[in-house]
Amino acid sequence: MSALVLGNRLKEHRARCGLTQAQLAAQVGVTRKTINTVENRVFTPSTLLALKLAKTLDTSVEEVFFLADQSPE
Amino acid sequence: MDEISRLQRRRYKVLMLAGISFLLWQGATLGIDLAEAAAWSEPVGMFALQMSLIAGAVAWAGAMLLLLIYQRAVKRAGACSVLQDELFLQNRARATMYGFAGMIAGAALLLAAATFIEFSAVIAIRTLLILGVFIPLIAMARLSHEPDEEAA
Repeated sequence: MSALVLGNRLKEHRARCGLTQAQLAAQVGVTRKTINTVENRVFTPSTLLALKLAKTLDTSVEEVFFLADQSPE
Repeated sequence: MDEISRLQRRRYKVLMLAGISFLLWQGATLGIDLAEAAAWSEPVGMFALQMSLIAGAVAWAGAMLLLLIYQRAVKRAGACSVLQDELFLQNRARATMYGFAGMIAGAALLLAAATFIEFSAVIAIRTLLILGVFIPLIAMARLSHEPDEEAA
């Protein structure tokens, strides 16, 4: 059985904007580790942080975050 | 390295020092309690325990001082909200949960051990105190440790 998890294209959008993790973190007001863990799907951000990230990257939340299938291991 | 990363690394070091020094200090005290309860008085062993107790207590006091200095540095840098972002809050909750689980496991083991051996309430309380302080400190340090490499 597959489960839905939160996927993201944060790294791609960040690269498009020419930002490093540290620069994005500074603009959003979190630590670089938070950005790193969101990109690596280790940490699921709150709605507020997701909205802040999308706004900073000049895109919509749906463009950055999406539901992805997680196949059973 | 920016100021936030520097403060994160400093926090990691202070938390690790606090956790290890507390374990050394209270662990040595527990060792002395156990030695006294078992009427064990081997001089070299007791001396080592007493030295560990003193070293641990001094290191713990140093860690608390460093924590105060760190907090002042965070305030001066105006980095409170960044350093206590939502990942930090989640990690703190997880570290607290690990400490709680460790204390419950410790209490269960002490309860099981109490059916075979007799020990004082002080020994049991100190054991739980060690678990309740050491585990969250080390877990928090490990969970919030900054990775060295940044993805481009």
